[in-house]
Amino acid sequence: MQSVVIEAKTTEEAITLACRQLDATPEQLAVEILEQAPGMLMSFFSGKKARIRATRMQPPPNTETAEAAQRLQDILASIADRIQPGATVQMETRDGEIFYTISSDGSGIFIGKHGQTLEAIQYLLNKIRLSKFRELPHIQVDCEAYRARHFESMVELANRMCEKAKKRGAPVATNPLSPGDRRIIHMTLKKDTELTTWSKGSGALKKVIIAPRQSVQA
Amino acid sequence: MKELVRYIAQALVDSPDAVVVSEVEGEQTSVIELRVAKEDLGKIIGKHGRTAQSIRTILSAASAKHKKRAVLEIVE
Repeated sequence: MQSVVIEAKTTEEAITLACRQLDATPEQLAVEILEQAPGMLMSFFSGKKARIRATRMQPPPNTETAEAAQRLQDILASIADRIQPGATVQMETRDGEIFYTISSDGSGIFIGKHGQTLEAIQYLLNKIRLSKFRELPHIQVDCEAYRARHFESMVELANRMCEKAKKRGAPVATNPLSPGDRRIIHMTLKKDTELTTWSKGSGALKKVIIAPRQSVQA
Repeated sequence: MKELVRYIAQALVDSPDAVVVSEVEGEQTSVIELRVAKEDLGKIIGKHGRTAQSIRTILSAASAKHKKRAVLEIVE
């Protein structure tokens, strides 16, 4: 595990420096504050600095996991080719996460209705990962930028429902959504202090209720 | 179709040699029968049948191109 001790004027600055030294993102670091930075004025007079110890939590990708990721890519490519001959798979690593992208003729055969084929492929591939390549983190499968498009449409839905709830002054409900989709709705509306959101139902698919705060308290 | 099911099944189980896939072709639908080792049955079906459901979803996506439906039967 890599670890460094950094001194800087502020803790924020120290964290930024630590990230650069360890070649990591702030999320990958465990930060321990050794010495709190005094207030702006105080530090000007005393010359005291903030001191932190930053430890990299995830080790940098090593050759072993890279090889496993490559083998998993080959498995996905074999599956994709059996669904549609000629389809190929690209791999990308971002912030220690692995993303696979299937390229095909653009017919959406790998996406399916509401992305259900893509979900099924990703679920199965994660199952295979858990049985054969336990060292790899959770993986995501995408095709024709479906995930980004879907994210946008969920944010749009959240904003539309938010308008509706405010106009009516009463709670509104979405269709039953998957956990990931519900999370997008909750996160999008979190910063809106006039509203509150919660999930309702049982099982994997639940509705999200979006309600103006007054209507709940009343 | 058969190859697709065989490939996925073999990737999921502990004993890939015990995977047997056979296809019964009908006029419009073909039934694909999958047999695995007894210990691996749970891996193929999954919690609440989710793994089996995923294989069926992929199978129907793949068979849509062939204008012929394929049904997956997991045989004990």
